[in-house]
Amino acid sequence: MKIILAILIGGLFGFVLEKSGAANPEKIINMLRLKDFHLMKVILLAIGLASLTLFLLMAAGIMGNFHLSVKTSYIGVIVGGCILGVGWAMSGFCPGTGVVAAGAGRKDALFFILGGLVGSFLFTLIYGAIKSGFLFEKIGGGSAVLAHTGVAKHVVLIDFLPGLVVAGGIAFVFMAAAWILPASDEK
Amino acid sequence: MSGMMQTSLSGYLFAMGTFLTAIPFAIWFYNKKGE
Repeated sequence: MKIILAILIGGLFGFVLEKSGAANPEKIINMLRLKDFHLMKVILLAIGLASLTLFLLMAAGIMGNFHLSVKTSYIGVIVGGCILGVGWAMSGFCPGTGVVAAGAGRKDALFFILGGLVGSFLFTLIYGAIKSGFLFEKIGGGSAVLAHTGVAKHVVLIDFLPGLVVAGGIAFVFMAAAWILPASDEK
Repeated sequence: MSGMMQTSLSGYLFAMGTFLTAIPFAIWFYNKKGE
């Protein structure tokens, strides 16, 4: 049942990504060249709305916090983000949108996925040599979050306010940025 | 995105690294190509 649900939600997510243009490398590259902010507005609105909805559902007791999956913060996360940034800017695909674009029949997306698999394989080969190094030094105490989630192992960085207030404030900033940002750099 | 919606520090750090690299790289790379 879980697999069927995952396929259904994944299919819906892929459909929305394709229809919104998030899987179109030209739109992504023009966003990164600061020429077309349509997609940036979609991304900012999606993060803000999803965050607000998530914390509202948890505060109302509709969704349990055991669904959260907070990754550990370490220096390698920033380095990994920088490496992904280069690939993202060059190809116009990120791991999720690359799969969506391949599903939509783009051949260049297949080469992007192949490159990602090769990169992942190379990482597994060097992991043993780097796992004790500075890349895996924790930042902010490990599984750090800005807002209270109710999960004991999470290190809460803004711990003097209720989680919904902090997450709601951050969501407001994201959604306001989506609203204020111009659609393109044309005057 | 899923990290940031949970207000996870790792999500913000990853996005920061990604955008701070991707924006200047895209501007430089595609201007160099003359597109």
